[in-house]
Parts: sequence; C-alpha cells; structure tokens
Amino acid sequence: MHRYQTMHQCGNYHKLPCTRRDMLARCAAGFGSIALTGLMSDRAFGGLFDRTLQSPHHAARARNVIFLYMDGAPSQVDTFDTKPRLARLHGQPFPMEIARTQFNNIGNVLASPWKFRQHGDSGAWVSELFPHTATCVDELCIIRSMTSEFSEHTNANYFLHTGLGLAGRPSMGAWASYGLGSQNSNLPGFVVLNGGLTPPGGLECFGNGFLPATHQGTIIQPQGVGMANTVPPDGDHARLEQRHALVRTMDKRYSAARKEDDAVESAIANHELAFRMQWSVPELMELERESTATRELYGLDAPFEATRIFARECLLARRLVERGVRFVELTCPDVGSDRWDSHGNLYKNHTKNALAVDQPIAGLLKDLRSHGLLDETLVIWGGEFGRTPFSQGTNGRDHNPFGFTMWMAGGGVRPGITYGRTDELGYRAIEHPLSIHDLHATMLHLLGIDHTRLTIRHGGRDMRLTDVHGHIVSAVLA
Amino acid sequence: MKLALMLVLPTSGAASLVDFSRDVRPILAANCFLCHGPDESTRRANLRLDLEDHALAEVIVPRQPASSELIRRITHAGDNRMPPVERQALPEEQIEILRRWIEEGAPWDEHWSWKPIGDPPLPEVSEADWLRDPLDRFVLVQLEEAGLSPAPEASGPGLLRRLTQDLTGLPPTSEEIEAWLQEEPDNAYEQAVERLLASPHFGEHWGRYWLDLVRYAETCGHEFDYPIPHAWRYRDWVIRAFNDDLPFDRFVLEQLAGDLVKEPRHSPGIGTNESIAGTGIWYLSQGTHAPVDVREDEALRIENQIDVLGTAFLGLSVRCARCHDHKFDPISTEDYYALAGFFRSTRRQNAYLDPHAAISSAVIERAAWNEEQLRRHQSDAPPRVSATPTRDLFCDFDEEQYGEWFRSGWAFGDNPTRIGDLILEGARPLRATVTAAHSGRIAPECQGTLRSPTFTIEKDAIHLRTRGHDCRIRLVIDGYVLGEYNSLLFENHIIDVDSEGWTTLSIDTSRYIGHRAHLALIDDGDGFLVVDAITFGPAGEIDWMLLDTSLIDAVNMELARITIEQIPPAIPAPIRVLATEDGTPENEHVFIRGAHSRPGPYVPRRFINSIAGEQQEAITSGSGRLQLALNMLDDDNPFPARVMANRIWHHLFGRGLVSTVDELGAMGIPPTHPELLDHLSTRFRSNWSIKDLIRTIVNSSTYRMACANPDSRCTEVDPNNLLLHRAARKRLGAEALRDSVLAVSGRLDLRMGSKPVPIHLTGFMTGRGRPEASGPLDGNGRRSIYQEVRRNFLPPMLRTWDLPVACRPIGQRHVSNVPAQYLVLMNDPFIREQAIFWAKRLIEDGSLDDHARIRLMYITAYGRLPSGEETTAAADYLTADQSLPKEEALIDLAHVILNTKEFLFLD
Repeated sequence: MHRYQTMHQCGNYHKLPCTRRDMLARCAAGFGSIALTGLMSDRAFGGLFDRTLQSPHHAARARNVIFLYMDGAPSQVDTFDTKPRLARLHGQPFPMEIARTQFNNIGNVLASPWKFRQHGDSGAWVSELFPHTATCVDELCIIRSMTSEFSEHTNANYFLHTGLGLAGRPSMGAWASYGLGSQNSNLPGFVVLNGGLTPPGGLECFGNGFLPATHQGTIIQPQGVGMANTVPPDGDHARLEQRHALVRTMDKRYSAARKEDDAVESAIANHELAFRMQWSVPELMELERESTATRELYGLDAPFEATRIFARECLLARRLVERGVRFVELTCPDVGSDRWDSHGNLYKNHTKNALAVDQPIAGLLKDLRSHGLLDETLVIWGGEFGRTPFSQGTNGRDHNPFGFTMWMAGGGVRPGITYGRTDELGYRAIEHPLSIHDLHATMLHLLGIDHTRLTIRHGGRDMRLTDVHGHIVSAVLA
Repeated sequence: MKLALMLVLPTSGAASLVDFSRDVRPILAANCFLCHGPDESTRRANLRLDLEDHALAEVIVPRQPASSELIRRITHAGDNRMPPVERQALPEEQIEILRRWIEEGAPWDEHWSWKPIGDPPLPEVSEADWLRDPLDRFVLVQLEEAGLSPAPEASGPGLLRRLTQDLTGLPPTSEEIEAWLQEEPDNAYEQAVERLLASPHFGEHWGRYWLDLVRYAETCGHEFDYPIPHAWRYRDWVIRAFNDDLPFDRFVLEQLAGDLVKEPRHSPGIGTNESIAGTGIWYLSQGTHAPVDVREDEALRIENQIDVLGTAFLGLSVRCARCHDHKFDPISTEDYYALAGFFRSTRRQNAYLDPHAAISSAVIERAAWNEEQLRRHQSDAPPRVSATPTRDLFCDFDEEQYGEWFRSGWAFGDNPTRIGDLILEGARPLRATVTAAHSGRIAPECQGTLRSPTFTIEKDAIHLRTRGHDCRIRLVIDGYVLGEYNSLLFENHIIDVDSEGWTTLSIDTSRYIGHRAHLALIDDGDGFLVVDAITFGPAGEIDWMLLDTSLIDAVNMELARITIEQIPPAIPAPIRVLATEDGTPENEHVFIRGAHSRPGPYVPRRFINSIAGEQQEAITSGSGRLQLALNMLDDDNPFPARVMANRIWHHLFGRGLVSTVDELGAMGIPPTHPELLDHLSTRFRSNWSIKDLIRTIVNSSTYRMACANPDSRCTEVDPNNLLLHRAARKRLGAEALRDSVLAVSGRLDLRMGSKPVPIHLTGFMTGRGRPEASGPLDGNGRRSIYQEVRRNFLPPMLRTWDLPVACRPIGQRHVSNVPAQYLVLMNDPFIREQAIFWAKRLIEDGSLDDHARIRLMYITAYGRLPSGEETTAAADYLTADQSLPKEEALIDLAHVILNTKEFLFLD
C-alpha cells in the first residue's frame, strides 16, 4: 500500500469547516444527516463534523454489513482450518515453540474431535460442526490467516471492534454509520442484536467513542419490544398521540418565536423521528408475518432454544438491512454453559455453540441471496481470536491470537475461496497473515470508504478506525 | 488592533495584514509539519518549517514569493508538488495567505499559546454605554470593527433561568421566579449572582465538568468492571473545592501533590486531611483484569495519567510524545518519559485519614502507656529469637529504623520492634522476642501499611517469616493493583496472614523476573502482622533455622507474659481515601517508538523543557511531584491559567474563546478574541479564584445578551457567532436535564455527597460485572452527580444526552441530537414516573384550580408565566377527553411539558 499512509500518522490535519449554513445545505436527506443537522446547528464550530462523507470515496461494493460476532473465540482447527497432522500427533507434546498463553496451563497436542469434509464446487473444508453452513461454502471467502494482538478477551474485543485494545474508541459499526449514515429515517445506522451474551468489555464494544452519540450501537433484543423506550409507558398509543399533538403545538409556537432556530428545529425533527419509531420498531419485530418456509429456513422453531434465539437475530438482521440499517452486529445467545470460550470440555462447548448458530447463519445467507440482498450486504463471521491446537488441561483449548479463521460473504467479496494459511498444526498464520486493521480497511473499502480518509479530529489528532495501520486485502475482493 | 476577521471572513480580509500565528502557522502545521516539523524520526529532506531560521535559510525569501521554494512547491503542477501528490493540494485561499505573508516580509512569531500571558490595554469603543465590565470592551471592539452591534439585553425571567442553570445546573424555584416577577430591583440580577455563587449546588454543577476532565468513574470497566474503592471521596473533594472556591493553583497543586504539601488543609466536617484526597485523580482510569504483559499495562496506565495531566492542566496533547517527538508542538519523547518517571515513583494507596486527629492522640496515649508498662516490667526481657538468614536476605528489620521502607497509617509504629518491647496481641500482652515489623506494636486495632522500597525481581520466590491474623501481604508488580479482584496471572501475590505461630509464606515470582515490584504489609483491621525476615531466593521450602542454627531452640519459646490491668480505650478506625504515596524514586527509560521492550536511555524526572526551560532544578528525593507542581504553576507557564479561563468561558457561552478547549497547541484552533483571553487569564491569575472569574463574566453585558440579534446583517457577517453578536441558545446537559426533571416534579432530594446511589438497571444493560440488584428508578431523587458511575453500566438516559464514556479527559461534550433522546422523554419510565409525581402533588394541593395549576407548571418548568392563549390551550387539554380522570389528564400535561423544547433549551 501507499507508504505515506503508515508514515503520516498522528494528524492528517484537514481544513476547518465552512459555515454552518453551507454545512446544513450540504446535508442530504436521511437519518444520519438529520442528526448531523442537529449537531451542526448546536456546534457549528471546532471542525468536528465535516468528515461525514457526502458521497463514498469510491464505488461501494456493499451497502450494509452484518457482523456475526462469535463471542469467546471459536477454534479454527475445529471449524474451517483442517489439520490432519493434529490427529497424528494427538497426545504428544506440542512440537513447536509456544508463546505464553493466558492461562499457561499447557497440555499436549489435541486433535479435533470433529471430522472435516470438502463441500460445494469450491471444495472448501468444513468440519461437521457446521452442516448447514457447509451447504453455503460457495458463497464464503474463508480467511484462515487472521491474527490479533491480544490474548485476553476484553483487550481483544475492543481491538476487534475499535482497532485499539482499550475502551474509548468508536466501534466499527459506529464508523460505518458516521461515514455513511443510515438509509432509513426511522432506524439508527448501527444496530446490535443482543442475543443474550454481552461480550467482555461490555456495551462499550459497541460504543461511539469520540464520535457523536448518534453513531453508538443501538441495542435491539430479538424478543419482546426489541428496543428500549419504543412503547408508551402506559401502553396507550392513543394517549401518546394526544400528548404528542400538544407537544407539537407548543414546540411550534416556541420555535416560531425564535425564528426557527436551527438547534430547536432539528430537535423537533428528531422528536418526530422518535415518534415514528414507535411504529417502525414494532413493525420490524413482527416476525410472525414471515412465511413458514422462512421460519423453517432460519430455524425459528428449532428444538434448541439458543438456535431459536439466534434464528430470530439472523432474521431480524435481514429485515434491518432490508430497511437500510448500515451495520448490524449479532451477539451470541446463551447456550446454557459458556460462549465459545472453551478452556475445558471443548467438545460440549463447541457442539452447543455451533448448534445455536449454524442453521440460522445458513438461513441468513440463503435468504439474503433469495432477496437479492447478499450482493450488497457484507457478512462477516468470526471471534476476537482463535484457540490453541494444543490442549489446556486435557480437553480444552486456550486463547490463540497468532492464527485463526474468519469468513466473509456477499457484497464485493470473492466467493468460494480459501485465503491464507496457518502452519501445519494450525498455530500461527504463515501465509498472508491479516491483522484486524486489515480486516477493517477491507471492510471500509467495500463500503466505498478509504480507511485513511474517514477521520475525526479528537485530542489534537485526526483519528481513524485503522489508526496508522491497515491494508486492503485485494485478493479477497471480487 | 488585530482582527479576527480572517477567521470569520476568509475571503474579505484583504485590507488586514496576515497574522503568522492566526493564519500561517495552522496551514504549515496541518500540511507540512508531519515531514518538516519537530519529529526528527519522520523528517524529510532535513527541512524544518517549524523553526524560523531553518525555513528562512532554505525555502522562504521574504518579500519575494516568486523566488520562494515554498510557494513554487505548493503550486507545482507535477510530481514535485507539496504536500506530496497522494495528499490533497492546498486550497487556493491558503496558498494566497502564504503568498501574502511572504510578500509582507514573512514575519515569524512564536505559537500564541506558548507566549507569556499579556495584559493588553483596554480597547477604545464607541458604544461605551453598553459596557459593564472591562471585558466587554474586547468583545465590542471586534463587533464594531465588523460593523455590528451586540444583541439587546435578555429580558425577563429567562435571564434568571439561564443564570441559575449555568451556575448550578438546576432551574430557579417557583418562589425565585415569583419574586423576580413581582419586584425587580435594580440590582436583582447581581444579587442572584451572589446567591447562586454561594449555593452549595454550584460545586455540584461545576465539579461535574471537572469530573469529565479526569475520566471520573467508580469502576474499572473491561471484562468484570471491578470497583475503584473510595473514588467517590475524590468526587466530593472536587465539589467542595468548587464550593469553597479553592484557588485554582492550589486545586492543581493538591491533585499533583496533595499528599506532600507542607500544610495540608483540613476538612471542616470530618476533620481529616483534605489536601490528600485530591490525588485520587490519578487512579480513576480503566483497568485490565489480567494483563499478559504487566509492564505494557503500566505503560498504558501512565499514558492515561500523562494524558490527564497534559489535557486537563495544560490543554496540550502531551501523550502524543509517547512514541515520537510531538509532530506539531515542542514536546519531545524525553519530556514524556521525564513525566512518566513521576508516576513510576508514585504508588496508589488507600490513605489512612484521621478524623479530628482522634487516632493520633489515641496512638500517642497508647504508646506512652506501653512505655510505662515496659518500664514497670523491665526485668522480664526475654532472649532474642529472631531468624537471621545469612543468604538471599532482603530485609530482617534488624536496624533501628525502617530505613527505605514507607509507612502509612499508625500500625507499624516509628520503628521495628526491639527485643523486650511490650506488645498487645489481642488481650494477651507479650514481650517482643524478635526485631520485626510488627503492626500490633501499639495496639492490635491500630491500622497501617508498610511498603518496601522498589526492587527488581531476580529470583523465583519471595519468602516471608511471619505470624499474625486478619492482615495481608501483597506483592505489587509494575504498579498493578487489580490482582486484588482477579488473581489469574498474579496467583498468591496477595496472601492473607492467619497463623498463631511463626510460618513461612512464599510468593511465586518466577513469571516476573526482571520486573520492578514492591511488597506491602497491610493491617487494615483488628488483627496484627509480624514480619521477621524476608528473603528472595529459589522456590520451595525454606528452613530459616538452617540459616542460623543457634536459634533453633529459641524459636518456639513462648513470649513472656505480663499481667496487665485496665487497657486504655480502643484506637478509632481511620477513614480511607484513594490517594498517591511516594515510593522509591524511579526514572523511566525513553521507550523507542513507544515500545517498552525497546528501552532507550533513562530520563531524569522533570517538567516539559519548552515550558519550564532546560535548566530545571534536579529532583533529589522522593517522587518529586511537589517540584512538578511548582513548575506547573510557575509564573512562566501560561497554560494552566489560559486553559482554565477558556474552559470557564466555554461553559458559560457554549464555546470557548479557543473552541478546541482541550487543545491549545498547534493543532488547536486559535482564539477568536486573543486579547480577551489574555485579559481574563491575567485577572484569573491575580487570585486564581474561579468564582471571581465567573462573577466577572456573568455580570458583564456580553453574558447578558439575548439569544437573538435583530440586525439581520449579523447572520451574514458572523454566521457562526464567532464575534459574539448574541448569546448562544444552549441546551441542558445530561445531568442538568435529569436534575431539572426532578426539581420540577418536586422529587429532587438535595442532600449532598457520600456514597453513590446504586445504578438503576434496565433489561438492556447486560454484561459481566452486572450488579446483582438494581438501584432505584429515580435514583432516590438525588442529583445525577451522585448516581453510581459504573463504566460498563453507565446510565442509558444520561448517555443518550451525551454523558461521555470515561476513558480520556473530555473538556467539551458533544451536543448530539438523536431520536433516542426523545424516545427517552416520551417513554422512559423515569420520565413518566416524574410526570405522575408532579401531577399528584398539584392535585393534592386543594387550593389550586386548573388555571392556577397551569400557571404554576409554567413557572416551574419554563421560569415564566403562561400567556392567556397558552393557559386556554392547556386547560382545554385537561378537559378534552372526558373519559380521562382529571389526575390522568394532568399527568399527561406534565409529561407533555417535560417533552417540550422550551424545557430543554435556555434562552
């Protein structure tokens, strides 16, 4: 990549904003830009908000992102990265030099308890943990050479989500929303479908950091009312409408007396949006309207409760991107034991977690395809790191940031390929290693954003999702 | 008189001279300094444009733009263009500024914020009648030069509402509004200013701004959101400091070195050392529960501390110099690591405070009594039985004094026990048979901690020969203290001592060879701890006797018994505060490219050279934080006064004179009114009184302007109101909004201080470390500043209204505008509950009819009377739906009012 991108780090200073009026006039319609209008009228100074893109930096290959976040870190050597040699060395001391793991309770080589088979025209290897996903391999771009910089969950989660191992930076969904806004005036740009487990690091993994609050991940729960405060407190919509009519009258009088002050006007506009969300969110949540075929495709009535929850999440994800939400992240349901973090009893842990997500994910990919949405939706699957090919204790695996698998599908990604390689034991990425920054740069690239140019001034620097790093991995682009 | 016209009108300032600081340096900094600035590591072509002599020698020919390489390169059409072709070319207007500047002789100037604070002469103005305070002249002169007039004075009770919210974050009471409406004496406004400055709620509002700057929170966040014990005492310290109008220089001093000041202040209430509580500031950061690399974790903690120091006190991004010399300001990596040394030499403690000196006097009394008993039983001296290992010895407390060990609290006395000392262990009086650190040497209930000097871990284990109970021994590596909550990587580094007889406790240090560490012997209860000897050696059993066989038989000899009558009353327990404590002086290496794995040379501890000069007095003892504070507050350092004066202006006007309130360096935006900023800074520094400066400003004509200026030219000439042709229409901040809802409903409980109210948990607040029980929905009616601040469970309503995440210092909050804010106002159970509370109170007052209720509601919520039309509309609303009971209709009306923009905005 361009050398200067890594050289010119702390502060690609940009010129000051033009006048507020210019800024207001420049704003296109839409949720994000209306919010921006409000911001501008309140704070049309300081050079903070002029970086929201008026148009993409280049032609976008994807309009939306769905991130299937596998909390706790699935094991690469038990899912998509087949390593026959592990079976041959099973039970023997691990033959390579081992870096300190988090728990440092290092056992012997642990073969995968699951069989791998090649699938589809692409012949990609998938373990029997994912029978449904295996039927979609020709849509997948499997990256076997991911790396992270942290072997501790919270640091690694912040890193995966924000590009820094500490709390306080904007999540990638917030960046996407900041850059591109939402395409739906009644829904936010960044939604987190919370299946039940909140990752270590808490809701700050989905935070807006130093971006305006508009861009923080809005939590939607797959059951019940979905989003906080979208139902009148007394449940009475008629009275709510009466109240709102009076609010409207009083606000109008107030604003008129102040010559329709921009700050007041944009507050009123957002209030109207909020009012409408009380219909748009319940409508979003009406999964009952989906056909029986769709319900069966996702596993909405599956025997395992966690599968049913994740199925609702996946179906909601489709409905959200259909409605123009820019970035949707899914968190895992509680499978009754732990998330993918299998320090002990790998077999039970991964069996349950895979059972929860496999059918819904395959359903999502197929449903997106049949709705014509997959080509414009980038789907990303993966955890914060991988797991060790040697055991922790006797039957678990510890954290491994040195080489692990993620996959992408849809919007602008080369389908049916497997990219990158770990060593013959699946411990370290040795061919085309990718950093999290590379993932972010590539994701933004597909959205039509140059990751070096989507910035915000904070603390005397122009901050980016990729900090001073990140290369676009052109080999995985379609 | 220099104008800010260039800033306001980039195209029409043809008549005025280009100002280097205001117009030129920002362009050079933004476009050139990355490769031609202070940072040597990325410098290209050996060219510097941040230094006059370099630039003039190389690429600038004064008065000859056409011959200047600078102009040639920035206007070059081909590959030789600067900035390099990958980056955007300079816009035409910036090229024009540079060209004109060179034409005018290329006069150079120091960056404005590094210059001493001046005391500019008061400008002459035409409309002298408008002036109330000298500061008004600086505003008016720029307006007049732009051909504008200030907005008229805000009229009516709206001004009282603005003032009350600005000073206390609360609305005026209905009584205050009624009084204002009935009789408005000439000096009613000034009286209100005095009343509000004296209000104890002033500190709650202004203190909250400061808490943003110190990333205040009461938990550590990350995976398990562990607590930061006693953090709230720092919060109360801040509130008291603002209420007491603690001079700002003292405020800074006590946060840097409140534990070291010669004459600490005493808190009038609890009678403890007030000054030390300010040092809690340094330990409010997020924290990782199991850092695989603890030295890196320390580097990150210190970066955050330096960030707070640089941003809050200096308005400079000093932290940028962690990996490279600052790219825009004269701050080097040596400066950064010189500061890091102060924090490395400082330890976190929960200091022991002594209410009304009750503990010290009891300790003196008890020590005297102990002496007396010893004198009476002098003949009973037992033999010495101390273990004295001959190898691997770290310490055996055989000296007269504790030497380089650090004592806090009282338990360990002034020195190690000497043979024959009388000691009360429970009800059992004994004589010391060893020389040891003994926390029961005065009395068992006496509390305190003894910390070792810092050492490098070189062996696999630490062994301590101890006995005692209800005490702890703790190993602290690289300043990391969260092992208390999660010992994953620090197993056995905190050991509870519970042994009647002598026992050996061992700590496995094999994982931490090469790290710096210290031991803490902790007695925080009614037990006691005796440590006879400490060795650093191989792991495994240690047989102290083999080290000195002559003592084998003596070890188990019981201690002598004495009959004691009438033990004096117990020593009271201390109050604890989060604080700093000096440790062993430690300088830090320069980390090459910020990596601790690549240590460069050590840098002695000192302040930033470009501020304090190259010839700083060497720090010869202790952490040196007191010296740091003196350098920080030296007359030659213009930053603290400028930064704080600007922050105060920002809070009162919605925008600072420097709009980048946390960045006064080259990457900041120059002041709109540089002379005014210096004028205010000079006045501020004369006595460092925050209240005086606020009084000055809010009494000025500038502050009292209305939010609208009838002159339509204003929006054309000064669309962003940079010249201050009117007041800004501000929106209530997160806390002020919630507090105002409570105030209006009548639920507000104005009790101050103390432990936080547990956070109310909604079903959407999930994750590890979630408290088991939810706090009350209305937070017990207490002000928002007293609600618990759990990093992973921040209150969603306040977050929606821009409460920042507590990670970095924040001097300027976003004012965002999102639908979620109005979903809260419409549907959040808290808002509805308060509407119900408010309506019920109004119903219960039988003396009120509908019109009187509506009148009262307008006064309470908006600080004004309703018009006839408004009263009718509201009354109609109350009766529109006959099926709705009166109380329900009134609840809805109350709910409506809390949703209106008039409630949200200040005129």
